[in-house]
Amino acid sequence: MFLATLIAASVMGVTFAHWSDFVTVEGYAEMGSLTFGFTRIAAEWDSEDYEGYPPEKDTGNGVCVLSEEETDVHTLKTVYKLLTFTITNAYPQYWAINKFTLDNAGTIPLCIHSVVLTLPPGFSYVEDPNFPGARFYVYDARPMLIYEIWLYKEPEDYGPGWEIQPPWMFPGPYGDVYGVRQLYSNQIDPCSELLTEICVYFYQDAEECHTYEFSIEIEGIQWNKHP
Amino acid sequence: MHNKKMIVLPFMAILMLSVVGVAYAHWSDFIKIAGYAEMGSLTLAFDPDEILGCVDNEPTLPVPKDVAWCDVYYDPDSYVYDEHTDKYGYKVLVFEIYNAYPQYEVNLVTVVPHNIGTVPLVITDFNMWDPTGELEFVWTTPPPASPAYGYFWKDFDGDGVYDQDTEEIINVKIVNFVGVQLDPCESTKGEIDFEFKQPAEECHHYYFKVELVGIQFNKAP
Repeated sequence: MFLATLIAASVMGVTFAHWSDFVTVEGYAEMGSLTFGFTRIAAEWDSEDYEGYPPEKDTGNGVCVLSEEETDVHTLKTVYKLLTFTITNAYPQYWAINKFTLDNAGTIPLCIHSVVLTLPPGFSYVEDPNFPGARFYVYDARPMLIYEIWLYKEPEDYGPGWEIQPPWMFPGPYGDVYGVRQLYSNQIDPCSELLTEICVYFYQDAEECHTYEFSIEIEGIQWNKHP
Repeated sequence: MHNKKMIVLPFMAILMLSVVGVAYAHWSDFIKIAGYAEMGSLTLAFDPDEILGCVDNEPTLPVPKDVAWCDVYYDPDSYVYDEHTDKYGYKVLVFEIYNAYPQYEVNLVTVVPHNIGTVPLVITDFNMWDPTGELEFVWTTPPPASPAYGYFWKDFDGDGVYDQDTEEIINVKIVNFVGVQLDPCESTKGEIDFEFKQPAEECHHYYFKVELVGIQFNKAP
């Protein structure tokens, strides 16, 4: 009994008695944000705006509208998640271009990782592998080539009246000076924008009084995970 | 040795989970472009609001007559409606000439093609033919000249060669139309004249068609 008491006291004594001190590391990790969106429509024009390419008219029209606002909680910058490109009264050989900005409203750089086209049932597409941007040839169920979509980086902030021709009228395979550039892999830093254009061109087999729809999803991912 | 393997296994599992976890966890965000393209319409029709009329040469003869006559009307089966513009018209204009004879001349003076669609068009040509194959048509002054001239002829002797003195049936003259651009809602008035020639047969029925060709303005030559 005595021995047991002694051992217990000894153990407790040791516990209380050894000298000790502590330091603490406290961690705070404030994560950034990745918020990708559209911010502005820079310009819109079509084949009818060019003198001599065919007769100047005001028949067709292509307009972009931004919607679905999203505000980044860190930067308080607002972007739009949806760009709706509405073309009215189109006809074969008509093309409409809209220039807009892809923005990084978050706090970390992002990269354009994918561009995915979705079409209604009965339609299909072929992507041009040689085009610097994304170029989709869209076929209907017949199957006839109906229209094509170009989506590409266009670093020059120009518009109608700037005496600059459509990209495919520049020399070189797809235009070397102001022409189209690759969209995939472009890095957009926080608070930066990427001037981008979408062009829709209609072929002769497009049908009268039809409405054609498409949807393109652009994915931006954190820059250090790309590709 | 066996124990070492057992130690490594949990690390491998953690490593694999970590890899899978990273793959799912990368930050990404999506935006979307929605595209809607509403196509316009190209609809060329005869204007139903225009008063139809034809005149002939009989009142101007030295001794005026009223022997032959002409009826003009829109084929009701060819009614066409453009849903974009809410306008309508007819695709076929019918003219019937009765009791005609050589040197009889009749003019359709109010032929009014109308662009009731939404896309500008240009009238580029005429197609003229006999659906029965009895007559053949040849331009002498083809469009886009205005007036444009041509004639229907019949190969009576079957040699396949036109003989001006014996095989010319109807002379045709067309004024206006070709090269005219019609913006949506615009129309133009023209004239189609016919003159029956001496080889035309008695008690015969000739049937022919005149087709106006309108194409989208940006494909016009």
